[in-house]
Amino acid sequence: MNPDPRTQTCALCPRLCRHVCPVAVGTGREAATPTAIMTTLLRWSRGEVDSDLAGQAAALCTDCGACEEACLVNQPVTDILREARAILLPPVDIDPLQTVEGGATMVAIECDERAWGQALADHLGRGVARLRTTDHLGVGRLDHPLSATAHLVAIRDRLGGRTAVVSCHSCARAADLAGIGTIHLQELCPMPPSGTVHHPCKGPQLEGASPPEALACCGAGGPLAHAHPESASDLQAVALRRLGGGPISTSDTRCGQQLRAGGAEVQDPVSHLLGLEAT
Amino acid sequence: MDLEALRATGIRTSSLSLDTDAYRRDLWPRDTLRMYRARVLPEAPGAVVWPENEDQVALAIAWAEREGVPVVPYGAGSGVCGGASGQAGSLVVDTKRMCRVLELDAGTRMVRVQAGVLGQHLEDAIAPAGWMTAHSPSSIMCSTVGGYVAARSAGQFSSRYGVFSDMLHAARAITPAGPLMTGAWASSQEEDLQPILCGSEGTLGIVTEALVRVAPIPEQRWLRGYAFPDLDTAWAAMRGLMQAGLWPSVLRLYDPADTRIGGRAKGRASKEGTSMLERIRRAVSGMPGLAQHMLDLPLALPGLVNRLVDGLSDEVLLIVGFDGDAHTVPALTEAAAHHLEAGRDLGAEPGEHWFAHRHDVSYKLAPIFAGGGFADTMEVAATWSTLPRLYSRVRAAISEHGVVMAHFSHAYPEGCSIYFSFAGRDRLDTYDQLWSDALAAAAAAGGTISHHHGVGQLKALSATQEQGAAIEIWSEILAKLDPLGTMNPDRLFVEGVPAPDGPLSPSGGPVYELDVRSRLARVDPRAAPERLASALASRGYRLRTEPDQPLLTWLGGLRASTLRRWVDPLFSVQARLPSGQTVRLGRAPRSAAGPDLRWALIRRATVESVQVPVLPLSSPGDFMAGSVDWGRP
Repeated sequence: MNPDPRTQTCALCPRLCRHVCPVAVGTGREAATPTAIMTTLLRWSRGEVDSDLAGQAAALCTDCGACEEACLVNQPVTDILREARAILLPPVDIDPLQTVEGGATMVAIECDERAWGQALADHLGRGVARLRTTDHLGVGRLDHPLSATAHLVAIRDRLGGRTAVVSCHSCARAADLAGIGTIHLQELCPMPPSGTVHHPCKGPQLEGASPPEALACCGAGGPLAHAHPESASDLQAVALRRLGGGPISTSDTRCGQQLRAGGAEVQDPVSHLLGLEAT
Repeated sequence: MDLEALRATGIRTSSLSLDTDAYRRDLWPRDTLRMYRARVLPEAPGAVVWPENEDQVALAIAWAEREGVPVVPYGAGSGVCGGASGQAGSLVVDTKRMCRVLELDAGTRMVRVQAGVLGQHLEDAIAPAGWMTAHSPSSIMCSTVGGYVAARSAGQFSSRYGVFSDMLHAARAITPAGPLMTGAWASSQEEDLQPILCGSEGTLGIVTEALVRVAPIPEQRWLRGYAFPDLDTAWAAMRGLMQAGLWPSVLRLYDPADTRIGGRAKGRASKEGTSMLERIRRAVSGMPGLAQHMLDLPLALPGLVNRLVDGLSDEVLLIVGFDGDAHTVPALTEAAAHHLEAGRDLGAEPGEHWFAHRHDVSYKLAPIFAGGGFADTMEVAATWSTLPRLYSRVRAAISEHGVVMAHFSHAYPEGCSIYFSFAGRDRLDTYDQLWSDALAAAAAAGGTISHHHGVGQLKALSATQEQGAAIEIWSEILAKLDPLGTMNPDRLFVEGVPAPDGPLSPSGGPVYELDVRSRLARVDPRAAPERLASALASRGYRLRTEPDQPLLTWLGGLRASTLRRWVDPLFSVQARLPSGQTVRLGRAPRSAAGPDLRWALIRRATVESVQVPVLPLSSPGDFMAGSVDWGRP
């Protein structure tokens, strides 16, 4: 296989984005710098390292894109890594897709243990259907174009022409790729910032909050938590330290899950909505 | 290697190939070249640890000593001399999990940090309170405070704020012999080893904590460009600004090649159309085949290209910057005006353009490697008297093998550094020969072989020769702090290199030599203050700092951490060692050719002469506007 010239640019770069990479900073691992990852991929493409090692390297990423924002030569790092993972890593097992409950044109994608479709229906005064998913619409499968296609078709079949109401960037990505129109819960039921704000890498931010800080990444995004759980825990700990010990608010429920797992008191759009319902 | 015992201490440890592979190389271009072209990497370490505190650093070093495993300290791996590249079976101690900013004290103007913090993160942490370290190396995004100490780093604003060893008020390190505290944290009963720790490049121990001086973020940063007819005229302007005590925060002079290739002297408005590189790029744009070979000619015939560039114009660009408030900046620029009058004022744009793009050059290296070449830099320094010779000899040496340009930055009242940038054909033998010739030329010209990149493997032989017989002092200190040779072996200095002949003992005096251009006097350090002052006055000069005791007594009792400003009171020292050999240390205002052994030499050898800064009697007084006044904490 010929070396991907895009990996060369990063492999020859003096690590100028390492300071914004939450994985490199949060773990301290040199291997997690985009330069080191791309060096491994370059060497793999030349047959110098095996696929297993290259796959591990390509999975040292939360898919946050901070490196791309810092890069002056516009390297598409997350795209390169996704493409590499599709080749190097086996498809992730995903749960069977559930059926949609209800016939409304708006479908609440309930991606954690909480059921909030009815609360949204009450809040909006209109019908809202529900789709429960335990793995964010099988987003882990989407790095693999071949096996992803059938899965994306299944999502499209389930949701048809309806609009998916999502509360996390993973579900949003899966729905987007399936060609399903999405709207974020935060837009339908805005949650004001309270306590310390954790900004997700993608998706709407809480209005009025201070600018996002990539280095407070909680580690929930991308393949990191699945492939390198210890490093994801490092990021979770760093994020909690940077966010202080008090209550945290975030617009992304997947981030909320990750931060709660670290013991934090977290408010997210779903808990906000359910709180409104309770009062 | 009993890694279970290491893990049992609770230190985060990995022996996965994923991790050990990532520590095989730092940013030494030679290793990049080998990785990319020859597909060979330095050896992999056996394991990596990420200590979270000083105790864990000590445990890791103790484990390595027991196991007989070499330790390679690792910050962020931005070194360009191979100082942190892989050693087979070694234990890499990565400090980046020790990255907390512990305390910012506005009263004493100090910040206390763990040594694994990245430079940019440190600035980000203290900027909201209105402070900065002002240490801004081009590696600031990918280098740590510990690395700044270990390799004697310098930043782009050093002409006003000093290099990192000037900013460092105190440090803690873990050596195999135990904790080492330096600077203000050193015991007053013991010798302060901070000058030795700085520049030791991990061969003594691992820096764990630092107390760093900070300065207020300036209200104003005035930047301007000037075109000078030639280097001599521009050097005179730089020297004048520094010797008048104006301490510009930025003073960068581009040589004719750098000025022409960047198209800098024309100003930004016309730069797009006049830069030589830009014109070539435009000519080949849309012709990928040709663009791919754009580098072929310069890399194949560097001598020809260098001569072509020589023939174009002698005009050079000087960028000048001043930091301060609404009162001081106008005063400084007014005082600077007559030093700059030989230059053509290009306005603010060249300076502001440099400031906005000052880190961009690092992104330009990849295309050179990918295009069939190598790119590297060499930073040397000397007194103002020696600078022209250093420039011409080193440039000539590099020109034989690569396309070369240079800029002059990191200026001091006594001298300046030269930063050569060069590119050559991607052959290891070319690379090695270029460096061998360039280092030899720098030494022969009387300059230091490194101003701020350090030594590593690349310059180990040259640094050993530059330190000469003083290496025996280093060996003595090393034997106490790292008796088993655990710390980063085979780096920094080369064992068994015969010391070059030392200088002859001086006669006459008390003033042996006066370098008017560099404002330095070589004098008898034992002379009575009145006698020395009288001898200097008879030649129109006085000491910049006039102690009321013989210089040797005064210098012997000095501690860097008690100086109010970052100026160096000692330039060079010549001494006779216990072995009978003589040595002279101090070729430039700052050197990164290993630890600063001058102060240890004063305490351990028979000092024959010292070279110290002087001022003309007619000078209204030094530090008219002052380098940063750190005050007395």
